[in-house]
Amino acid sequence: MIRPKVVTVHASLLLLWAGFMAWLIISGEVYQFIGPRTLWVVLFGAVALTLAGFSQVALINSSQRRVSAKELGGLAAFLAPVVVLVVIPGAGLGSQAAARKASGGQVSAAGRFAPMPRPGVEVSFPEIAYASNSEANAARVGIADGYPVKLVGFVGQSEEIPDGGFVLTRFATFCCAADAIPYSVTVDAPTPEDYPEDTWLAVSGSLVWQNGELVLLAEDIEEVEEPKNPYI
Amino acid sequence: MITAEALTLRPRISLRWGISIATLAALIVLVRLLGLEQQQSIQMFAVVFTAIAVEALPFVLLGAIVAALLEVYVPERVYARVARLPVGLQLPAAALGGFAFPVCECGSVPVARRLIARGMHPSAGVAFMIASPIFNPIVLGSTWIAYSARGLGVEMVAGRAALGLLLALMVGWAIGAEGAHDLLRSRSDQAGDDGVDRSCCAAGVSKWRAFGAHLSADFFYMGRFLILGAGIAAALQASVPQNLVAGAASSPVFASLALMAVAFVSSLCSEADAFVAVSFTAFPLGSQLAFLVFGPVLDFKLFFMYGATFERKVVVGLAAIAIPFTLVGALWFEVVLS
Repeated sequence: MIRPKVVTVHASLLLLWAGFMAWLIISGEVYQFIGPRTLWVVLFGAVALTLAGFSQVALINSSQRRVSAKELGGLAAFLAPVVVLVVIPGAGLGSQAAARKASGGQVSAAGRFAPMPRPGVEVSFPEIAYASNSEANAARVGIADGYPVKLVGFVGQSEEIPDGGFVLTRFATFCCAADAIPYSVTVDAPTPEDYPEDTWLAVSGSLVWQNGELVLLAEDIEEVEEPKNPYI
Repeated sequence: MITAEALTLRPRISLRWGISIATLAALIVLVRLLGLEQQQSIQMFAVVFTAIAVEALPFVLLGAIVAALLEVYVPERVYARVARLPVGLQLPAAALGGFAFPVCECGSVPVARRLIARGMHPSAGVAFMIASPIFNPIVLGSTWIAYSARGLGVEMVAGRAALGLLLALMVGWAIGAEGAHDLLRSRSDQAGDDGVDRSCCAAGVSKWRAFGAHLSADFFYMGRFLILGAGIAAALQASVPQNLVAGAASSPVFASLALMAVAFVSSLCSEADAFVAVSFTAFPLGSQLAFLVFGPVLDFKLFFMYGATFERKVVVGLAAIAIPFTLVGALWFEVVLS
């Protein structure tokens, strides 16, 4: 049985991966997987894989060795991430992932450490998580009772929220989705409404202290599309 | 001219492509019919698996590029000169050399393999491989940023750098005492012992062709094990809740072991793991340090990459040293801080 040359398979896979990374960037899908700080890795990967692919193309005429069946099995592993995305399009991290990734029982801003926010940054989930740890932290970032805020996140899983309320969750990534950390804020809704988990909402209101944590007292809740970059 | 071989090859290739595409289409239909793509755990697996592969493969390629440069463009006499240096000098120099190679653990494995194969003392090669993902400016910088808000930036950076370097020296000294032939695994599934297709690189062929052959050999050999490890790490992240280990937080020993287990399963990049470690607020600082030191030394993806590079006894020996050493170091760090 005649099999393709090793360099032909190598060149094809390198160029496939280069194209895959370029597609991730151009389509914006890259935001589902990679944090904004490390987008350069994907760009570097697309360029370097393209160059590496063409280096193999240049070897095709001079190389004679053909790929063995055993090697083909190992090389097929490189197709797996692409096939996974073809079979499961539009995959994302949701409320169940937040529950899985929470290191404490309850996915709550108050139970987590958040790094001290940079001055001048718009108040979002990490800043509220930081402020929610103590009133001293809240004062440090300028959050006081009645602080107005607008948050966009998805409805997360919760067992301890009173009727009418829910938790609004958003992931923060640093390198990629593997290190995503969920941040959640309890929302006290003006009118009881049962929002399904993973519904993306824009919630406007004010932050108030309730039972030792900052809760978002909602004034306006609007269903929104999932943002292009679902992470913060 | 179209040869008889080409005429028979075309239908075979077309048939294989047809079977492959039909299998993929059947898989898509099956997944849709069962509604599997809507299940969050499946989606989480897909996202984490793809994320690790997309994030880490460029670093494997970078490591393969450096390894190929070392193989093709660095003259033999340089390695011969390095090999003549006493081990006592090579070992710490290689560990400290990690500071000049700022890539994560996926890139350091192929480089270390190439260095050992070219004559660097195995102790020094292993020490470099262990130290570079911990003791490099990007990793130490991200550790400082993550912990500086808690006023612990200096302590955690110093603890991570010191424990990482000591672990690299210890593992290098213990494991590298054996010769390179006893340490490195031959790549029997490919053309040469080093996996390079030499049919393209006979004597007289230009160096860049040899460079291309070495680059692809290392990239494809390491990359497949990275993808295998990423798949297992993603499956575990999607199926095992992290709060399973929360109960261990009250005991320093169990807390460290628990976070080392989390580091092994998570397979995070060492350049970002500090931001995850800092979120384990219920756990003592010593156990967070254990997470930061153990993860870049041994996790699922590295387990498979080491297995592809070294003999099995090396991987077992590395784990046998790294687990107790990291544990003791983390406990000592806890005592010093308190």
